[in-house]
Amino acid sequence: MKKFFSLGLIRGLWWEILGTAFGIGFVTLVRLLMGLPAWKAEPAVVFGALLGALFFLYGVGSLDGWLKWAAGEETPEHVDDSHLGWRRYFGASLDHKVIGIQYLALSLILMSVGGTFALIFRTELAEVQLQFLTLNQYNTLMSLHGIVMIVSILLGIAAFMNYLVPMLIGARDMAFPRLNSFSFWIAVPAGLILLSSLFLGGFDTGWTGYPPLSARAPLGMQMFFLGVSLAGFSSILGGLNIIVSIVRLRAKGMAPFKMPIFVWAALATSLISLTATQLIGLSFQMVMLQRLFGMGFFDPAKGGNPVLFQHLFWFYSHPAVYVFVLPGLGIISELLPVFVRKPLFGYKWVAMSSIGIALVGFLVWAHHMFTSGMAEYLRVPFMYSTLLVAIPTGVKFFSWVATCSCWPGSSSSCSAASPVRPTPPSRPTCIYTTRITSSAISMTPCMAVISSRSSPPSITGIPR
Amino acid sequence: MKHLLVIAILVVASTLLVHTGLTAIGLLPEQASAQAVTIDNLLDVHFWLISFLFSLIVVTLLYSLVVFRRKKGETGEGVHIEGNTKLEIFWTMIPLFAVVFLAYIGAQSLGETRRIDPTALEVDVTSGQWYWRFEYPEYGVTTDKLYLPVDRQTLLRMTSMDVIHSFWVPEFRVKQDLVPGQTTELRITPTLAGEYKVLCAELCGASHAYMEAKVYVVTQEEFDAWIIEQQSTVVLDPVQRGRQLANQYCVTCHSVDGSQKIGPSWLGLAGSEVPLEDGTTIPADTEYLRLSIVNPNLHIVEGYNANVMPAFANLLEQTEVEDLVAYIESLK
Repeated sequence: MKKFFSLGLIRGLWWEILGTAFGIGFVTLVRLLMGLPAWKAEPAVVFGALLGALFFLYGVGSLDGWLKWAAGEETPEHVDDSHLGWRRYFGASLDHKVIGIQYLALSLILMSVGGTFALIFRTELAEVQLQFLTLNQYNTLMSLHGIVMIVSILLGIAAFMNYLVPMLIGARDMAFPRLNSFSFWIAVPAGLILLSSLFLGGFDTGWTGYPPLSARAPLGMQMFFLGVSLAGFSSILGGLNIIVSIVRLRAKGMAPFKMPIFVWAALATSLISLTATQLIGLSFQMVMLQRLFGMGFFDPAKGGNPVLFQHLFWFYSHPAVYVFVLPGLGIISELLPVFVRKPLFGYKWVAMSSIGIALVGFLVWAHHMFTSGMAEYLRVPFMYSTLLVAIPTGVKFFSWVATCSCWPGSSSSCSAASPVRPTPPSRPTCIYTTRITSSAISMTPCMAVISSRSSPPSITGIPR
Repeated sequence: MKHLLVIAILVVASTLLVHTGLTAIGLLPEQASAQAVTIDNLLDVHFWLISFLFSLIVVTLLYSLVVFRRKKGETGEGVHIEGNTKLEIFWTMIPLFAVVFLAYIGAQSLGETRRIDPTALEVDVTSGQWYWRFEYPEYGVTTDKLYLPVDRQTLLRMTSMDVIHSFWVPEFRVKQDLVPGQTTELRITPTLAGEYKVLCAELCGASHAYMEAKVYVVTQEEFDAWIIEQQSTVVLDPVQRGRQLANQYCVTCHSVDGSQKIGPSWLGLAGSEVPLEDGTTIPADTEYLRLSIVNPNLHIVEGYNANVMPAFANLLEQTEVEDLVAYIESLK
């Protein structure tokens, strides 16, 4: 029992409850001192939830390293906590593989919660009219399903990138292990705050949270805005960490075009996470402030413009779909060559197409707003930029087809041992990828292979 | 060469099959406006392209997986091909021309659907949670059903009283949001007489799914007759007028038979003591009913939330509010 209560996660949850209570008490006290009616739910709960998240991070031990430095104490670069066994998965570990597993577990938990919401409201739809939900419950479940699934996919992506990228580039860990731990742990209170909206009146706006509807929705709306804003920190800091790791920590001799193809996908993904996530956070915080302090950002009666929100929102939320898809395409580009026993066709083109999709993806957001009431002529340039995304995407698909097929394809068999084709000079291909399939869990021996092969010809052979 | 030929034949066959499938399963509703013709032509170009690209990728992949699979006894690696720059440039440039062409015909089609007819019939559309209101300024007629003459362009000038809504009749294909504080426009030329529905296409709160209004596309003669009928029908009974207004704006949320909806029921409301959220009660007299319509957040009934009902002060005339109150008072 004592062991259970000393787990970082459990301590974090206690601290979160404490922080929430403290925040609610603080706002109530300030209102009392200002001579206002003491209880007003919205500011108290929002501030409580925000403080709860900070207290959680303290309780779980995610801030320990920084607090020690602030107090002038030295800490080792990397703390080995492997003696803790399974318990380190429940605390603020600095090991990228532990954090990768933590991300994956949280992602799967949230995904099953979000999926359950969908099952509930789809069951409700089995017959016309409402059977066991109210209109507001239905919309709340539908809206939460959307955002919980999105957050869970973001965490799942982070899981794969955290686990694989350092090993694929031959690094011991990520560039900033403490930031890495922080990026994961802030997602836990973010998820809790998001789900708490179920019990605080819910919200009926869908995952897009467009004002003015979101400016008048129940209190649960604020928990949605706050939860997504906090989860955004996870994306931004995680993206930063991946980019710095890829730029600075590659094994000796691994030039950019010798990186495994998944690393290129992770780089493109992280560029988006690092630079676009701020916009959704900003748009959500503007509605939060509009609700809390009566600011008129999106309120036409106060000179605001509801369409502005949609621009800010989609500037992230469109590129976000590439955050979801690019790592997946990267995994396909990685696995396909292993199973067809040939190198990936056009490695450089596939690598550059990931970056191309990420960059063009920044210019297409307003195609979600063709009917929104924005200036009409804008539909045309945004249609052109949107269609352009098809080109790098096509490069990927065509390259996969060429990887699989026996281009130029006059022989009956694709095997190198075929009598029609003489055996080409043997070059080691797919060394690390074959290792992935043969030992999916432990990649360390594979890295030993890469780092021990320091002579140039074999390095060229590894990532094609 | 043999492989390429077989693949080419299979791709053509699969393209025809997929396209037939896409058009046969009834993806698109009836075509009932001139704009719909333009949009459907554009869609058909895309259906062909989708069918072709899907077939090209999937057929080639499956063919390769089956025909080039590992034969018994083969243990070596595949042929070592790292790529082909000419081929990559080829399949970058061809799609580039294709998408520029698609964007060009897309822009052409957009222009076509926005073509302005100066003799268009003007209708002012007002939306709110959860009603549609259509006003014909030329004729001084306001209704909750949209009557449109066939083969004549209609210009809809639209705005919202509260949150964002979206005007969408699937058979007309075109769609436009209604934004508070802003007037948006939509042009429709109905070509097929019949009965349709305008559906709100922007999530606008609890009863979004039920926010719809009837659309009747009729001949010019029928339209004129309908306008005259609307202009001449003057209801003298305030309760009767109130019932019409209630059916238009109120009954989505307030029942008149005591059943539970989003707002309190009106049955037996007038004259009762209403328990409020702050613990007090208030007699439901004429003044209370009037205030609850024009400023709903003033008194919140126990068990209900503030900010759910929009204020109707700007939407309804003073006399219309009085009619509504008279109707509510008649519901004993």
